[in-house]
Amino acid sequence: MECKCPVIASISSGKGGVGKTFVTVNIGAYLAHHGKKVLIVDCDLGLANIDIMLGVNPKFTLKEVVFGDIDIHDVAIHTKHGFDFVPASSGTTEMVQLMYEDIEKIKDALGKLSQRYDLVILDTGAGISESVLQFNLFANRNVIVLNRELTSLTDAYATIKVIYQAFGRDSFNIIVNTAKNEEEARKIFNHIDSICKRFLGFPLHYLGYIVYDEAVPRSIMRQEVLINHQNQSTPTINCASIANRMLTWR
Amino acid sequence: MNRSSLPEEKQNNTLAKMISEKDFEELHFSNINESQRKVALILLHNLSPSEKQVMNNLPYRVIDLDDDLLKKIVELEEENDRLRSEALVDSITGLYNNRFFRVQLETEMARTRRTGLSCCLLMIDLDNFKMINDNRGHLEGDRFLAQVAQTFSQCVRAVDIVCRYGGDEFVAILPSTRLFVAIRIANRLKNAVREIPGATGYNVSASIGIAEFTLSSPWDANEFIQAADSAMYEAKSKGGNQVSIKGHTIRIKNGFESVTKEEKEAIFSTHDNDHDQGEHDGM
Repeated sequence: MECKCPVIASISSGKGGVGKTFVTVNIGAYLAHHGKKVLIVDCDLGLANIDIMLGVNPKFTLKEVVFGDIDIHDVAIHTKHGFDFVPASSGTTEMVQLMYEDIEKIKDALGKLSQRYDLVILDTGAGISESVLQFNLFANRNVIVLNRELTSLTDAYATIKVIYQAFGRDSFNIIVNTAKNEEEARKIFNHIDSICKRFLGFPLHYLGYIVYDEAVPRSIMRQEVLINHQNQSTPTINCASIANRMLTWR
Repeated sequence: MNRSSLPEEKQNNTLAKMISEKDFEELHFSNINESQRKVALILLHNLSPSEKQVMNNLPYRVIDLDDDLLKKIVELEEENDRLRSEALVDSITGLYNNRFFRVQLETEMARTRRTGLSCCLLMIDLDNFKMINDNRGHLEGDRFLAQVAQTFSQCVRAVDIVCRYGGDEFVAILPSTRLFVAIRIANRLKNAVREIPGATGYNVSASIGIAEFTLSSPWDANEFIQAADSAMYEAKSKGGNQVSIKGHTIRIKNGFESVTKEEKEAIFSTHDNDHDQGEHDGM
């Protein structure tokens, strides 16, 4: 990944609470651990929460980039997990009402900052707001995280359909989270894949799965990154294989 | 010259009758040729009722289609029509008119297709303008429109083209402009309207819809106008005095709703997850 233009991957889900942030942070930590320059951007502008998960207390956030005169380079912080991190504001409602021009400003700033990295991961918010769409458009790879719940599948499909309709994107990478095993993950993927083929006319790409494990909620509670915390667990191995697949992206 | 032959006499008779009876429909659907129809229309518009009556009672020959003077009248009338429609400037506001706007829009869309640089369209509708017309008369209303036009012209860049779309609607074509910039210009116009003397007493403001035409936009000129128009209506329906964007936001809403019943059923059907639904709730 010596190429100067980094891979920018958006991670979305449609429905909240399916594990977007967990996936983002653990993939970032794994790749950073293996010598890659990784930037994680919390794009969940309304309910920013990666900073909480990482246990960091940022001085500046994307809010100051939009409304203040802070340079995005001063917002990015280096974390103990090895990756750099751009926090969104937390606990304020101002950032929810972003105008198109504000999103453009963030995108312009991220475009400059991205040059320093091998991989940039955008953790978009839940839902299909304008900003979620814009960050998906900004990314050159789109990842959708889903689980077995029907609401998750429906919202994931809605997200895919809207991004396809709005921007003509027809390449989506699916991560099945909290699966019982690989067989179930494949089954869930095949199901949503067949629906996309049938109604939208294109197939999905299977990026991987993460098995359900008690260690995951525990790691989140402790504000720890699983990859560093419990190296031999199945979810760790799952995240690693997803991260390795992402490394082949150009 | 076969003016004595029956069919033509009959036609001329019909013509005279139609003119006196003002039967427009008859005029369009009866079996007369184009120049006869034109003569009839000209006479219809220019003769007084009594003249029409007299004409109806005269021998048919009075309308001689081969008459040089009548031919000249038809020609002149056609020329007048052409000049009227080809005038590019709206007389009240001094802005370009709708006709010029449409030609220019096509030009800018072609430019986008060639250069890849998107262009934007602002559809601007004045809120509460009717109040001025109703309270101070149409003359004052027109004067106000002229002020608005002048204000808009001052607020846009040299390359932008402001036109009167009709009534109290204006359009601005922003060539080689991204949505990002168009929003700023639209806001500038919106704020400027509030500053026009005479606007305040009647709470006149502007509802502005923006549409962006990019290389990947599937629109033709009409659809581009429609897109800006529907954004303008959205701004209006939210209470006016604001800017609204047609584009992704609106498509999002449609997209969300457009997970069709059929698709939903498909998602819900074959995936047998009912038995383990909720097993890992809270994850």
